[in-house]
Amino acid sequence: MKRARLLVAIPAIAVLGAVVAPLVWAGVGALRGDVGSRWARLNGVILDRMVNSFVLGIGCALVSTLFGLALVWAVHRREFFGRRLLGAIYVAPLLVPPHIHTVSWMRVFGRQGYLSNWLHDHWGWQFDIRRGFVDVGGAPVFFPGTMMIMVSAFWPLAALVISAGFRQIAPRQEEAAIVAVGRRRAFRGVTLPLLAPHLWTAGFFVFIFAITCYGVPALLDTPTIMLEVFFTSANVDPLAAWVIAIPLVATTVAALLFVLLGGGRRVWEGRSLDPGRVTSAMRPRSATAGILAWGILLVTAGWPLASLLHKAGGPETYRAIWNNVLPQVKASLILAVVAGITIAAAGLLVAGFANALGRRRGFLVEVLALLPFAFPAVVVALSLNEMWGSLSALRPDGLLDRWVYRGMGLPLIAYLALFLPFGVRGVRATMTRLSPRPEEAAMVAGRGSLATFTSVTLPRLAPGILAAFVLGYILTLGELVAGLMVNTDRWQTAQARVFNMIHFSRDEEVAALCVMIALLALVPTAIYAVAFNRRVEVL
Amino acid sequence: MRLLPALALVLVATGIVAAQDAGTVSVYCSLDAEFSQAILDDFERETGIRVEAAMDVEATKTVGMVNRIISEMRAGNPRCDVYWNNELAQTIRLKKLGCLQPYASPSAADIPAGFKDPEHYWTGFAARARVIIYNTDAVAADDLPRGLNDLLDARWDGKMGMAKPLTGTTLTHAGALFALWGEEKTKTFFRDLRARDIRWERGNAMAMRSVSNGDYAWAYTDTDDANVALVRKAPTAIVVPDQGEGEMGTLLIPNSLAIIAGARNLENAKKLVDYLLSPAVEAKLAAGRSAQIPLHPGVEAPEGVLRLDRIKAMEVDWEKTADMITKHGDWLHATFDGEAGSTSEPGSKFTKFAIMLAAAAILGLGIWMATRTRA
Repeated sequence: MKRARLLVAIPAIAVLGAVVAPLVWAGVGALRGDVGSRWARLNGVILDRMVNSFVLGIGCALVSTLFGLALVWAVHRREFFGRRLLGAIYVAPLLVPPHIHTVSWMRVFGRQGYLSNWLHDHWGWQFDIRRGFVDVGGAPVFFPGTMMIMVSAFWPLAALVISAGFRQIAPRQEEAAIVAVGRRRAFRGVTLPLLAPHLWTAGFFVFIFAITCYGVPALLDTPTIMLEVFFTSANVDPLAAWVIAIPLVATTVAALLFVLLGGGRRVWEGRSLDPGRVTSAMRPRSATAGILAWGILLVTAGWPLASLLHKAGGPETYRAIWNNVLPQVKASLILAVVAGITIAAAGLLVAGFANALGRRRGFLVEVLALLPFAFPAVVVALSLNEMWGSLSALRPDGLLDRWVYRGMGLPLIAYLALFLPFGVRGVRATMTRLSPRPEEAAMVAGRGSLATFTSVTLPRLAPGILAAFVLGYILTLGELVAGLMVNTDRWQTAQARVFNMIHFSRDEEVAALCVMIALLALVPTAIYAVAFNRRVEVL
Repeated sequence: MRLLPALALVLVATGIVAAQDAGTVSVYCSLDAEFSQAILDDFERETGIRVEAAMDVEATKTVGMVNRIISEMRAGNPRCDVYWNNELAQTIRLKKLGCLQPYASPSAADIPAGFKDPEHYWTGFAARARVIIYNTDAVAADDLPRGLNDLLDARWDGKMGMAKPLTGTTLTHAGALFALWGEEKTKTFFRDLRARDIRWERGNAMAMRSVSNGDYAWAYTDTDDANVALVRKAPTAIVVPDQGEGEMGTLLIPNSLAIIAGARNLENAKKLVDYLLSPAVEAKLAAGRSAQIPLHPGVEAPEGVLRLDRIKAMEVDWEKTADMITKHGDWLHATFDGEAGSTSEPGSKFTKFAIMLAAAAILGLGIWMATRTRA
């Protein structure tokens, strides 16, 4: 038994080390050498950027949580046309990376977007999605266009978390309150307080995603702290970028710890309790709720994505770019599949390690695995480059050099660092719901620990492992910054290509490649959903 | 357990075999793969030397690759043999850091001296020029902007655009002006520029695109970006700026090639540099979508590609330009990036902190209000 634990513990610690060590390495490196000039960069510009990011993050968290709550409430507590379908597809916008949301919204509201042109022609309004408002000290601090796009990309994340909350509420409590005080007061007095930890968690997760987002502000030229970190990393000194990222990282780590150590721990750990069924009396028919819920999905995701599809035009555009983008699409697909497998395997290892350590210490392991998630992708990427580039022990053309530093290894570690928490959660969500009795029975019957694991535990964990794979696959496919920044010789991703094509103003081709990437994300998710009759749930 | 030594042997052997492979050359390339990959493929096909290319993307604007070279050199472990930069300033930075070794390529013999390092640490080829792109529907042919001074002319307020001089060729342009005019005059110029009603863009391509769309009348950009508009048959045309008598001429920014100090495949690196500096490669780059200007005399180029012998090029002290970029980069950043930037008043900083706290408080209060009562 002890040997089996070691077998899990050693690779799990190795995974955590591979993910956390570069961050520590670069952090320590930033405190050596030309420290003064690096710290001097923490000036008024950084404060400006932090304020902009903070306002953006808070606004985005509030609106996304509201949208998520409205849609999930309608799906769980009202009956309307297409409710089940909506419940299955509302996460679809998450399959589309934020910068592609931006490209699609710019088709509508950009300077030359068709709605902007219409508003200008008919009403004389000069609409600019990039414009900032509320001047403080001569600079705008509120960027509603950027916020709107981030909301359209991130509200389904809030909806996922809140949906987990609705599934955990015992409907009988609400039913009793409705009888006693009516629907409206029951919602305010019972449903919302019971959902509170999920609302907090949803808000904080969206906040973290929003303030660490690079693609949306980069395309809209919104002066956020992420742009500043990227600029410094690319144009000045990567370690100086690490220093100016400190206020951002402190904010995200604080938000994460607040979620995990506060009420959010209950959300994160989930519950195995069956709360009971929602009766039809609890779910009255409401066309208004249906219009609201479908409206949120169609306006925030359907409309801009349809515009993108329209812009891409017919098959000739896809045919025209196929040969040009094939290497990047292939690289992205291979990376996404391998990263999905790695994230699921590492998730299984870390989850197993956390389980073996018991509830409290296991939770700490999970927090450690979650920590890199609080670091923006730019910081993760520059830390990896810094550490692996500085390892003089790497013999040029040796195996580590070839396969890790200049090969697929470095981007894989980056994806692992960024998305491991989803892998761990995907597996742990299933693990914590399983009874240990079949394993105990197998051991009592004389099976070895490895045989028990492969023949009893693994098949029962399969749905969780598969969920971790699908999540890893989707997230990797959509990740932009690692594709742009991580040193690699042969693995330029489709996302990096999209970014480059935007630079060269090839709108139709950008739209076509975006549609192709969205389809690549959608197909395996749809297969998973149909084959296993489930959504990708991590909570 | 018995497998471990065998596995270790295989790993070591793989490393040794790879290290002894003489048929490769490693190139770090900051010119977009869009334009460079086909040329490197041709070299591989023609010479049989395998090219291991790490490509930069436009978004990281050259410096990502430079940081990688510096970091590898610091570890005493250079992986790169040849650095192909799409501009010059960062190559000079590498020279100053001791990351390059000299090589006088025979292919560069007839490239003008102004585009070569006198000590042969780098050689320029296939240049881009800074040009004015204008919308032919918005600007009359007899009223065209002619150069840098038009940027300060009040009659163009609200009608012109430009990329912020923070990265890429616009930053190099700023560095060249610092080198040419000196600190005081250049800072005054940029301060005046900042005060004008100019649409500041994220990059030259955005400026080109805005002019093509008719968002404003004209902009400073590069020939490769301007060519995109011309190929798309947008209602645009270009003006080569500052060509008059006594004017400074336009800035030409060449690609640059250099061999890394301690390159492991030195002979192949020299062959690649010779190949890339050949007139044939310049002709390919001129014929491509980026319409690069050949520096070899007499290279065939399609109509529409500027010719070195027909334009007045700015005389540039490249070493000084690179120094100026390092020296004044932060000043430009503070002046141009972020509307307020470091110029924020102390009072406004306090206000901004207050905004952050208030925003957090609103979020907290909102959720607390929504969840406090129980029926």
